[in-house]
Amino acid sequence: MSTHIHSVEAQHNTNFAKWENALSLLAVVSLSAIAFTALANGARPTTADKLTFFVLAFAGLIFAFTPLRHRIENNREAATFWITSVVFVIYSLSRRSIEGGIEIKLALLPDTPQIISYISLAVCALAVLTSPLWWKHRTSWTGAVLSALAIVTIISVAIFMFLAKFYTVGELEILDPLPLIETLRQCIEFGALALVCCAATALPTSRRLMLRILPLLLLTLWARHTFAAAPVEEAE
Amino acid sequence: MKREVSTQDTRDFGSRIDTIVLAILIVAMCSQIDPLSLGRDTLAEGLGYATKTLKIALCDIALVLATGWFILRTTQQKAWRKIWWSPLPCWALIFAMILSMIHAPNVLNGFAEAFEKTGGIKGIIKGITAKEPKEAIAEIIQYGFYFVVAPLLFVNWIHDRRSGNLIDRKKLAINAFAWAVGLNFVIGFGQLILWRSTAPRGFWTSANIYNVFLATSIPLLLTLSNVNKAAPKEVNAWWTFPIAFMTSPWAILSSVVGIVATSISQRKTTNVWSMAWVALLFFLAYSTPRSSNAIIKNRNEHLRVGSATEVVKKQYIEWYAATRWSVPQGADLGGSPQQLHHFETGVGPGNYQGNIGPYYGSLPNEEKMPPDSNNLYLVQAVSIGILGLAALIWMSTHFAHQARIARKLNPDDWLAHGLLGSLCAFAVVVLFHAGIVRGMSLVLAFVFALCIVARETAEAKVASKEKNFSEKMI
Repeated sequence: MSTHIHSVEAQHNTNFAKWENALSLLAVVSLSAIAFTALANGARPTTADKLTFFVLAFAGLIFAFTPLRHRIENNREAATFWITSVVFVIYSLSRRSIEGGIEIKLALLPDTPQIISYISLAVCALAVLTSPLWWKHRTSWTGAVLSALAIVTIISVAIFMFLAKFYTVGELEILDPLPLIETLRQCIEFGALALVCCAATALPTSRRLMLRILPLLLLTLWARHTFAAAPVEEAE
Repeated sequence: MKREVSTQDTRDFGSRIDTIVLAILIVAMCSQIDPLSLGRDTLAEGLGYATKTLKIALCDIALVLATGWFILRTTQQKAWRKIWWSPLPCWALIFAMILSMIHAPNVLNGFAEAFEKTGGIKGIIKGITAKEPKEAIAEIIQYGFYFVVAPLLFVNWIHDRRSGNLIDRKKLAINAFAWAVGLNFVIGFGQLILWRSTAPRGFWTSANIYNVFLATSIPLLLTLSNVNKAAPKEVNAWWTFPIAFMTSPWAILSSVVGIVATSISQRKTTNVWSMAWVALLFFLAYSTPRSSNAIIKNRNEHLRVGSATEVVKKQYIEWYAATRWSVPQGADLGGSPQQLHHFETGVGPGNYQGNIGPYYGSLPNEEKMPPDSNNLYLVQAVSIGILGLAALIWMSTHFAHQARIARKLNPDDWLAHGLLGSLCAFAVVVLFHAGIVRGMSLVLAFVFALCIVARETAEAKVASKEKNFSEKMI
């Protein structure tokens, strides 16, 4: 009887491990796909973006292909911090590169419909899909990112509600709601992205894979936008 | 790693110098005295315009000299493998700041414009010393010293294992800190009597930072009873005395939050009686003639608008203005279609002031901002982005977690409870007064270091109890 229970439990654990592997692989593939979207012509990175890609690629090569990689791979917090930082930088370019999305009208800005981009919808959907993984394998770094986003959200909403009692609200009025809407939007997007990064580093195999893929992606991005870029107007 | 804590004190000359340097550093950090400044004071020279000068505080000088001494001493003892190193979150903050600097277009543009004028090595120097890059590099170096070097110095001096034996300087460190806080309050009280209308500020450059300093220190010092066993417990209630003389209502609120947090942590009501004592002092303070009372006048300044045309105080308008950092610039401010600031990495360390002006948009921007009255969370978010703010929170929660572990292992230890209260008070007060400045940052680093010390002490006590128990069993 106890042998039967053990074998059922072992089967359950094996199935769960398979699910975890599948979800972490999904997270890795999705983050790589997001990085690929930053290769599009519509991205138009600044010189600072290109310099950042180059520096991060150089650092990533050191982390992934030198004896330092064992320390990073075995320290989940360090790996999650590194991967989250890089993915955040790449994502900020990716979200500018893909046009189009779902249009919604908000009460605060009735004359200007807001566009929820497809890439941000994809990121949020990924965060939901990989939730069993990042919930089970939470990190303190991801908690800190979510806390930072929550603090910014709470302060933004609170101060908007306070100022709305004294100033007129509207796109052309004293109190423009656009910063509040953009802040909330980006907090949700980057929060979801941080959770997907947490899922991508949950298992040692996926963590190792991400650490090796990222520097190559960064080099590709740098090379693409430096040597094969569309003409870009530099900011004054 | 659990290590046995003993209290043996090897009184060699180097160890005595370590003790003196630690005491001097602790006293110096409780001030913002600026004996040096870099750059020209063009206004004082009568040139008709102001130029920002880089002020070098006494605490910064003490920190640099202390670091030099620590390096020499540790090298002499060949003890680099025996020291405690600052943990990952501290390094993560520095990494996030460097990432912010290289990802900020205005910092890179500032460097490029200055470099193009000269070129070569001189061009690089001109580029680094241009306005935006200079601010960024200075801020990174400052944060590196405050949050990587300073905790390392404090932990390794308070629990000094470099000689092979443990030298425990916890009592010295806490008492030096208590004396420095007390001296600040005495000076502040003297300023209150001498300056009838200006808010007291102790050894600090602004009353707001002086209030932040007191709000952070009081919850820690309130739990001092276990250190100086000769002093009666009632003496500790006197540490709430400065609260009645704070000029910032937000610092008062934060002190109360810190005291409540300490009380909850200790599960004691002693501190509630301390608060009742403070309430009595409040009543006495408000009973004095209003016309000569600098405290009430300055406290009211925080809560009422400055002029007939002002509807809301500027610092709160700026909270909303700062959220504009999340808006892609091309879409909103009519600039280049490319993004010139980033939600994830901000506008570059130290570049908040230079970028906040345009963020006001149509919001009123009339009055001058009182010194040290920004919201730290928003300042950090705008400067170093959400990654930098997250790294700062990660670092703070890491050390708070060490204090929680210490509290769990040894609930009788006063230090862990006081530290949790202190960190709670700091987390609240920086909503209204950005407290990561010269001097106060070192106080924060000292609190972080004490979290590590508390944990090590608690682990040693548990190990000692287990050892005694197993010896009894044998």
